[in-house]
Amino acid sequence: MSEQAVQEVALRVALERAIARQSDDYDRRARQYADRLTGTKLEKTQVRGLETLASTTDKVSDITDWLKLRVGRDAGRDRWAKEGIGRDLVTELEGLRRDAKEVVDKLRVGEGRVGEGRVGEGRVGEGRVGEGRVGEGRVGEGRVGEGRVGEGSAFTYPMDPDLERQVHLRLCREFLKHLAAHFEYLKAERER
Amino acid sequence: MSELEYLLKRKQSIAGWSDRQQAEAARFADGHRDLLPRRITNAQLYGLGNVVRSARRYTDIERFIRHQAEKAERAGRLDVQGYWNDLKDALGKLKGEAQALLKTLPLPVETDNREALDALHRELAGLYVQHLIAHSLYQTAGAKEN
Repeated sequence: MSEQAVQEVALRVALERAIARQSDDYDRRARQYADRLTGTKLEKTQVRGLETLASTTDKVSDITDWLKLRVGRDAGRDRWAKEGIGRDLVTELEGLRRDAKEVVDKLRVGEGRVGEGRVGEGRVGEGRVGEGRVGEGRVGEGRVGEGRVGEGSAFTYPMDPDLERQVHLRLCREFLKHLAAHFEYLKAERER
Repeated sequence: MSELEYLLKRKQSIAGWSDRQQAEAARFADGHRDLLPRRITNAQLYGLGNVVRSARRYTDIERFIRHQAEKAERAGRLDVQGYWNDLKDALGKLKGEAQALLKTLPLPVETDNREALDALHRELAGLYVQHLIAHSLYQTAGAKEN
């Protein structure tokens, strides 16, 4: 396996771990939104529809446009427009861009260079990145993905410039996945 | 680049463009908020959405917008005419965006460049209008809440 391929796998692993960590952080906030949503006339299918859209689209703007349209069409203000819930959710999802930037920035530490060497000149594991050592040895020998992102990760190959947007989309999906699950659970509890 | 690679790259480029352009379309809606929803109605916006979705050439979209502007002018609604003219300019400028995007996407052989450009221009216009309609309705609902 070439060094670049190893780096790509390492990036993917680090990214998945960072997204999973963020996702766990969102659980409580998503439950609060779900709790507010149970106070509206929204049915399970409508919230599930949002989750399905998020998991199938390749654009964050499709998700926020969908919500904006629902808020705009809710003339009775008893569904997505009730007490500003839809607006708050739009703001929340747009705000996840900051988390996405943070995740990618941490992965970017050392992008294009490892330690003081240039791409291809230095070996992963020889240079220090920030305060953490890169991996703990050579790629393949070290424990790729075990350290916290940013503390033990560095990627010597340029990252996809679209990565931040893609992470933002993933974070929106995670948030809405929690939201839909909590909503169904809380709705069922209320109806019991 | 294989056709599949091209299609995937095209899809990703357009998705990135659409996400970046959402703020610009929202600014357009915000800049014309005084016309919503009475002078420019939701029905007109939905009509625009339908035309953009079903257009087979970009000129179909342009023709619809020009027609709306002319109707407004005949009715003496110059502010509404201004809205449609501004929209025609905004969507027209997307041709440059389409050209720039196409440069980053080496077309598969035997692709008609002009047709590819027109198709991409239509697609970008569709996404811009999607953002515009969503934000316009959202904004109108907000104004009612206040």
